[in-house]
Amino acid sequence: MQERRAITILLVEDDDGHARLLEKNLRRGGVANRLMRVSDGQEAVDYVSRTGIYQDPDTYPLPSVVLLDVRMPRMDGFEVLNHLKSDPLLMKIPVIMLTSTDNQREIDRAYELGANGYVVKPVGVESFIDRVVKLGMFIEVIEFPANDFRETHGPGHRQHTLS
Amino acid sequence: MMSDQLLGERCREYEAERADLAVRRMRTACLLAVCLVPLYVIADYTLYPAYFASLLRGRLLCGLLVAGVWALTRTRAAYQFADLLGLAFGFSVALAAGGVPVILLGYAVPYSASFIIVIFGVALLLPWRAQHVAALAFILIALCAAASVLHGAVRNWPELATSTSFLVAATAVAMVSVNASEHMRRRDFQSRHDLRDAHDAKAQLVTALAEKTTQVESVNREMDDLLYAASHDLRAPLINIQGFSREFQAGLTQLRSGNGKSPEVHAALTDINESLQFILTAVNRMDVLIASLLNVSRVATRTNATQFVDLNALVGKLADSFHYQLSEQRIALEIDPLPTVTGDPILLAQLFGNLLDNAIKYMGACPERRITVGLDENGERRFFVRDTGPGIPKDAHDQVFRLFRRLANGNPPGEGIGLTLVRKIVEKHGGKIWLDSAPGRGTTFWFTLRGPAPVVAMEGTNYARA
Repeated sequence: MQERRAITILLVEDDDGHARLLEKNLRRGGVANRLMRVSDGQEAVDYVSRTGIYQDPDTYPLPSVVLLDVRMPRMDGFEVLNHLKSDPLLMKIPVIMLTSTDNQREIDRAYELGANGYVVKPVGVESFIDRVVKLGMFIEVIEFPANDFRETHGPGHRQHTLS
Repeated sequence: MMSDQLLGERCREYEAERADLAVRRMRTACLLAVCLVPLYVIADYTLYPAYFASLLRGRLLCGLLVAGVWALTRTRAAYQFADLLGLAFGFSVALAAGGVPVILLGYAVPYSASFIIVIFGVALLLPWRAQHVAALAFILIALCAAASVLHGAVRNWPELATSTSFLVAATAVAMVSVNASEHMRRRDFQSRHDLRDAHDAKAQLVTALAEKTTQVESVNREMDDLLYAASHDLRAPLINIQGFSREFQAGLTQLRSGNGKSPEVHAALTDINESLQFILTAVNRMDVLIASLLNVSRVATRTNATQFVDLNALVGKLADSFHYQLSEQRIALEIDPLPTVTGDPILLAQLFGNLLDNAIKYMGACPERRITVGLDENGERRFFVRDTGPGIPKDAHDQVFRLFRRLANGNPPGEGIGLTLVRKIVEKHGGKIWLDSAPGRGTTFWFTLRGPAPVVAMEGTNYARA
């Protein structure tokens, strides 16, 4: 196996419960990437701009994928999306929107602003991986634990194999 | 019933109209009369050259009088004293027609003829009341009689009566025609006003209706938005409850799988698991209900994607998708030829889909098993979906379209919003839906949709997958 750089997933989610569920689902599903979480839009912007408390690039590395909740207080998901996609340094980072319902208007608006994908909550590991595969980033993004990924895990864990 | 105030106003308006008409006509007549004076002068010169000088004085005097009346009609006072002015006008016309010679020289009969003309002319020309005609006639007759007596043309009362009889007869007839004409004028005035009142009332109603409609529409929009927001926002905490209940269960399973637990602990764990199961079931149910509410609210808030929709193709596709259920339940589906309508293809697919789904779901164990979809074009164009199922009792007909209501026929699957959705979709397409059913007679859902003028098969009609 080639050495892969540490891949970070940034989760922007205001609801603690949703964040925790997502984390548990992903971990249980075998996704071992570093998961950084911020609680609102403003913090997300600060994180990617490396301002405020997020200045140290080792503690707070730039993400390879951003999971962005649509509805947040103060600064909502669309504003953050816009900010990311209009910044030449950040626009390449794929952004996957998270929402509670499949509102067609929201979906259209998200894609208009440049979102790379869309998942309806609760975010299960299958839908997450599905999106990531669609982005063509499976190998880059998904980092399983150091063992060969074909090894089976204990009961309750999932296998993910490349077809 | 008109109020006193309104009645008073109307009367004043009528009088004003009459006065205005009188003044205008007087003006015209005065001008005409003044222009006639030269003609009279010429006639006098030709016919009565001997008396020309005195006649001329008379004519000119009359001409001046008429001119004076004309000048008076130009003043503001003319409108207020229109009747009095009219009298003066009539009198001056009479004089201009040759009354002066009668008075001065006593020629009774020929000039009474001209008086008759005057009375008629003035009476019909001006919008007078009968009493004014009478007043003028009285003055003229009196003058005539006086002149006749003074000049000795008449020697006794019978002779006077004879010579004035023409005048009296003329006056009587004039008064009758004036009455008739006044009556017609009033009727005309009244009908004009009635029409105006009716128009005003109608305009008021139209405005009120428009206001009410806007209000109702605004309230409906608010309700739809509320429904939408509520169902949307309710999902967020629901996700947590569902998610963590499952986590709870997973943890519990782990706990139970271990060994070496006392019976009490084991019993407690079993209890906890059971409680959790009930919670999860309820939460899942809530999820389904909220999704349904969202669906219902979406019908209204959905922006119009109106297209031509070929219903034959749409229902055909639905029939294919129901193929498995139909053959499993041994139900026959007949689809009559259907037209093309204008509407939202996705909503229309849901409409027919839900009705078919209902028909299949409630078929039960009926011996005759057939569903028919068709169109009835006698009179109003209405669509129907008919089944040979158990039928719905009359007292349950209102319930059928209510949200979350289902008839207790063995608890079939579904949330009970199917028909609510169907009704909302029909209404969105400008139609109405109703039910014809009785136990043992099957059920027919009738509905109307607005559509284009029928027939023309559209090339490349667009419809979305159901």
